[in-house]
Amino acid sequence: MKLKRYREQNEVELIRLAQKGDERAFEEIINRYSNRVINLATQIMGSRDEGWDVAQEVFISIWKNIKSFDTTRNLYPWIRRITINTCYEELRRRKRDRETSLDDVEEDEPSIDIPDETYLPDDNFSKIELKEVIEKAFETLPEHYRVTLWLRVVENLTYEEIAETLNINIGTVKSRINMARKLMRDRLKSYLEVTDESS
Amino acid sequence: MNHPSFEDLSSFVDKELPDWKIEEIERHIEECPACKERLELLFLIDRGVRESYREFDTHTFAAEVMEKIKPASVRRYNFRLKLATIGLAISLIFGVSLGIVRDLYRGNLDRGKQQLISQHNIISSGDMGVIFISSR
Repeated sequence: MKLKRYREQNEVELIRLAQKGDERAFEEIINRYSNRVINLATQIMGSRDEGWDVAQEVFISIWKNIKSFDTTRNLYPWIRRITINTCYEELRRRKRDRETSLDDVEEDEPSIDIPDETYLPDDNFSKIELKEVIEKAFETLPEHYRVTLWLRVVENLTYEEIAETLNINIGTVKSRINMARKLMRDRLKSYLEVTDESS
Repeated sequence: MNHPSFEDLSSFVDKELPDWKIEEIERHIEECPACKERLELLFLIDRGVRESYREFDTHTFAAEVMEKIKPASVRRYNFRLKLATIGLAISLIFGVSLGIVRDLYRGNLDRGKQQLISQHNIISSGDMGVIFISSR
């Protein structure tokens, strides 16, 4: 089948072809969903490079498991779940590795002060565009706040769907979203106050 | 109504409030510039978050993933090819062995026939079966 024909195929047909081992059909599935997966993985992992790498693992995992996918269901929610699971698995693995390597550090070794990147210095705010300020404020949110707000605002999930996707209760979803917005509001307020004073 | 709480405004943005509450907040916003500003800030935050969505080079990405996937399928193909080769070799060995055994058996049979013919002075090979069976 020609590449153009794959682009015109509907999702169910593409999945069926991929389930039979058709690599081109699977490539088309990647083309359709990779942006969303990379973006989501970036939010969880905290950087675009890591998001890109983990997203690749996600699609390899999808390829391995595509035969078990029920074609009567929508594909993207399944992909999103695999993305979230793969990312958190990777984060847990890294945490384990870090703990293991910290155990190897001698006790008398001086501790290193890691700068807190959660808060941006206020004096930089006036020099940066508002859009960049929002983006930066969002990027520096703690990961669980960032991911929950992302699922709400970008993926357009309801609180209930987010709760189901992240295996948490609705109250936690609500409080995470509120907290994320509060933190962002506070940072934006600082920026807006600085720009008001300077103008 | 009192000024809505931050939590209510946040849920209002997400449309996660009962209808009556949404209407109440809407009415309040029309009359309260301070709350309107608070709400606008929340919408601004959401817009900023949406705009942080990036477009990636999906073709490069897909090509990289397929590169990682293909070796696995090639390995599977090689494994199947090996299995087929082994199967073919076994069939050949079995076939050849069967041929050899058959030839040996026929050779023995021919020698037996010759012996019987010479012992019983048989000329016609048509009588052979009867003699062969009766001699056993």
